[in-house]
Amino acid sequence: MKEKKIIDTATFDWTIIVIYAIMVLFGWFNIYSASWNESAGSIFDLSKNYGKQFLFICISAFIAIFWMFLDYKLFNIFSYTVYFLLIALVISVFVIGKEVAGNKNWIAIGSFNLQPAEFAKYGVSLALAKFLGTPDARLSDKFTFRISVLIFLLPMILILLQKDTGSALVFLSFFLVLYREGLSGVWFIIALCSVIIFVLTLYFGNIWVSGVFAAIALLFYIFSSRKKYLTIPVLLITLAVTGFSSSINLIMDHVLKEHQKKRILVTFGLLEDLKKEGYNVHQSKIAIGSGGLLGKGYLQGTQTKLRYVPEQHTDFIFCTIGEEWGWVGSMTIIILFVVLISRVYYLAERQKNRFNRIFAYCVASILFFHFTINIGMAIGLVPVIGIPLPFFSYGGSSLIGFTILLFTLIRLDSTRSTEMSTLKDMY
Amino acid sequence: MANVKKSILIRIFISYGGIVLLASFIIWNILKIQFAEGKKWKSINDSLTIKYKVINAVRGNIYSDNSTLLATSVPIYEIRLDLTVVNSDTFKKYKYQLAQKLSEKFADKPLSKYLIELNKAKRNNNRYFLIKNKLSYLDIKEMKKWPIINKGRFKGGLIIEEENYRVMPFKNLLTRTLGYTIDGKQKLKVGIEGAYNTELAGVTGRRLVKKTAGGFIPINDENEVEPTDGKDIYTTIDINIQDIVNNSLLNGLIKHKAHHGCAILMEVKTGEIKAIANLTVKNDGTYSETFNYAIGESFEPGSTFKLVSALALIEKNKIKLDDSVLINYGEFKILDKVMYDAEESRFKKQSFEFAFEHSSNVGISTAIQKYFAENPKEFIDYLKKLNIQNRTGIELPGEAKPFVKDFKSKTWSKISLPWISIGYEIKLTPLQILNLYNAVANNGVMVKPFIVKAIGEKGEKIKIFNTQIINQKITDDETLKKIKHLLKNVVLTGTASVIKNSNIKISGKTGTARISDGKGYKENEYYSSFAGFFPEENPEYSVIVVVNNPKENGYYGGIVAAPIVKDLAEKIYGYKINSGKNLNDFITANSIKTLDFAAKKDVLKKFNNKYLKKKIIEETTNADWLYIPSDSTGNINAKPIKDVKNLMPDLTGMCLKDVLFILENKKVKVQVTGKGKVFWQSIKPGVNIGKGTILILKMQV
Repeated sequence: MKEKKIIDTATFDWTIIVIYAIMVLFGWFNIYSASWNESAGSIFDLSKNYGKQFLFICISAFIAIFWMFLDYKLFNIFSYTVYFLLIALVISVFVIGKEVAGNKNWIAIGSFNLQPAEFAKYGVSLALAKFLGTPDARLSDKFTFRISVLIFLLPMILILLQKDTGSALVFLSFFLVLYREGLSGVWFIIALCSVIIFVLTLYFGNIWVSGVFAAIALLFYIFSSRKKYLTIPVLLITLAVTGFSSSINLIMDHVLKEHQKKRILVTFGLLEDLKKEGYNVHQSKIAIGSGGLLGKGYLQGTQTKLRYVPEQHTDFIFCTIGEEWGWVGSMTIIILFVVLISRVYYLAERQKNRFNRIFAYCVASILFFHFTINIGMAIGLVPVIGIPLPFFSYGGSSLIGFTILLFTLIRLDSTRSTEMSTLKDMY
Repeated sequence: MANVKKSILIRIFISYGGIVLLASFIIWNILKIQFAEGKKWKSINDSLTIKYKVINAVRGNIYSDNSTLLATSVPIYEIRLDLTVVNSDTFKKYKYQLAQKLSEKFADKPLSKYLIELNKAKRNNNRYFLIKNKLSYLDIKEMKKWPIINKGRFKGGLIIEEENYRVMPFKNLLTRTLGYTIDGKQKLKVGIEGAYNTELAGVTGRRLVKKTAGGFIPINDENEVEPTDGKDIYTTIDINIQDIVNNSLLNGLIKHKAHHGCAILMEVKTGEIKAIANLTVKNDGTYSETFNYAIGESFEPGSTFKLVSALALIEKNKIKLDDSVLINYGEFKILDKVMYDAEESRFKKQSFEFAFEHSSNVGISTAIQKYFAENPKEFIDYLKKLNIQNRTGIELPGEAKPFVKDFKSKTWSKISLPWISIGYEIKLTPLQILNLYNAVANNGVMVKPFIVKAIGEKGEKIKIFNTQIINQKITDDETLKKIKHLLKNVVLTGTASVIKNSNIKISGKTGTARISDGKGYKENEYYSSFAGFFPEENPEYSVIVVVNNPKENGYYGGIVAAPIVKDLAEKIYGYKINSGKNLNDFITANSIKTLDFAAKKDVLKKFNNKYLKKKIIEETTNADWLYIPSDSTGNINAKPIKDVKNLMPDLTGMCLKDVLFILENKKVKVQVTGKGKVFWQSIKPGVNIGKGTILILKMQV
């Protein structure tokens, strides 16, 4: 099987590479615009965000090329090693982390900051692919299920402890992978119901929600013909719903921090706080809303230029695009993401190898989570959670992390023809 | 197998479908924001970025009669920092240096205090942190080189704001008369600034600007409204006379520990107000201008009003000067109320002339009662003929309306007439009383007092105000002659004889009126006044001095107010005779203005006033040189000058001779603009100076 030493570039998925290149470059121009002022110099100025981003792009390009020429088997062989190394890196933040605004999420390397949380996703993706990729892994098996969950829950909890809620929540996207691999859909229904009950409780209060649900359950029970079998389930469900609904106030007041609680209330229009927790989103909406069809033109945005929107070059980069490139620009970004994610889906499904497929699913899920939450946050659909827009937001860790993720996939995918006979693959 | 495949397809379909669904939801929401709500967001965006920028017009100047600046506007600046712009490392690195610079330059707070304030502002992400206000252009130029500030707008968050600051070079002189305006909720217009606000203010222009990353840029080429600079106001005030009047009044008030007082000097022929001083005691015993009593406070004038009674009696041929009137030893019961003279008299009867000159209340009131009691209307009509019931119409806002009781009114009683005849049950302002005396001095021509001579634009007088005559002839020449005779004798032999040996012959009438608080008359509180004119033969100026509640060294108008008039009259003539020469050489003894800057022993030599002497000694131990600011109220703020080598002294108020003397050994190059006294120096006091330092001084008369 070693006849193909020279790697055939035709086997690379050029669609993804082109989309990647477009996104990264477009993102870089927008970071320049978001940080621009009349005294701004060259886009390559290394003392500025955009100059640094250029450097990150160069590093990413180098890594991407390097990755494409790595032996594909390494990913599989070293997946657990990488996973544990990255977990160790996350833990090391507790010790050697640099404190920024009271939180330790970074490791300082010279004048650059490394954010291990951005890389932990990669480790989880590899480990999950490896673990579930073994031919006899079945998610219906409780042990398998528990280990799978533990794989991503471990870094998630560590990152939560570092108070980086946004990065931690990203790990929930791995449930989508588990679903594809056979996890019961009930979990998603329960999650969806929980969200609905949560929102309803916020609007109407736990007494109404519990009361109305109990009444419906009672009516259902009375008119049901099979009371004997339904007594216990109806009772349990009603208890669960009322219990959850009643505990929401408790969660809001005691589990969540004040700013998190406020951000949630702001998102659902239950609190107007344009000065503080609602400020970013309000300003971001002004930026996007005032962009119109074609936008104000490159470097012409006023909202973003005047620093009305904080974090405009990182988490709120989308509003710079919305303002300066208008609806056309926003659509382009969204379509690029949808095409990219769809392409990754397509890639996933064409893999003959379970490891590759699961890894591809991980990539798609992570991208999807980042994309929806980030843009949803910029337009006020989701509470403000600080996670970057992949390939667009300023930041070395994020860009390099996603590059590695994407190019590992490309490399794995490029081998599918040679793979076929090496590993047994089955649905 | 087929089942498994189907199940997997469903899973793929659901998970991918979910992605498409959520993506569609996002697209739909962006559509909503950008199109359905687009207008709303756009208008909010515009409101944040487009605004009218006000282009301030330069406020006009106020000048004295010989075009000395009395009030002008100078630009001042303030420096602020948007600390969110300054990055933490830069801030950490330079904050100490900045605090040090601030503390060194302004010497108002210790370095540590500045540091604490900076740290706190940075912590709170203050985007508009005030570093310092009221800075000159040169300050700004210097400070722009300081750490953090030198990083400019985009890295240092530097914000410089300019505004116009009103400066009165003569500081406390004329404060209330020049006045001020306050815009905003409570609009307040005081003095000339208030009266001529429209002219002085000019028209502010405006321009539509858009906020961009490069700052505000105009949207159109042309201003929406072009700014028009304010016009200048030329007053009738003679600043030297003003200074003299002010000082004379001040010394009088200090001597008698009075609560407040005012003095007005008017040019007889024209009605031009040459000086107007108003001083009120402050808690610390010093005096300053806080209210324009001269025009704003009406009071029962007392004996100065006897002028009107005499005019009425003489003009209507009711009485001759040597006709005998009842004095009744200074006490007489009219109906049910007893009228007293100021002092007991040894006469039962005396001539009318005697009664007037000695200000006998009984004498004047019984005469009036005798001739007008039958027909009080005749007397009241006579008052109205003299225009007493009307305001003088001076341009300044806040002139009090005179109160003249009508004989038909409910409060009119049988004793109203005799009491009005001696200046009670009637209220006038000092200016209104002065206007009567001015008419007498001006051979019966009553003119309207005024203080604004012209309105100017770009150095040209575009509107000139001339004297307005209110009454061509208030009385016949025969009466005038007799009245003048009476007023002359008040000084020569009457109640104001204290000042009879004045170098300048003065005519006038004293007044000592009890102060009413609305319910009754207060014990031992008086208005002491003197109204008259000088020189007696050919009057040039009319004057009134009113002193409220003198507590020491007497309280009669002849004792308190008349000497003030004598003092100012002599100095004014001294100044006029010597004009061209240094005023300081002439004004002797207790004038504070003579001593802006001098050796301490010379200062003490010149003071006769023990109170001031003691105060100076107490306040300036350890100093050989003294600087007394040309603070006209003479609140002896004698500042000891520490002539420290290599430090710039405060030169404000010094004349060039003194400046050169003190800078002689400092090897400083001095550049002077203007004449007179220093009102601005380019290097702040206390700053280190080295060899060859260039100092720019702005001088003004």
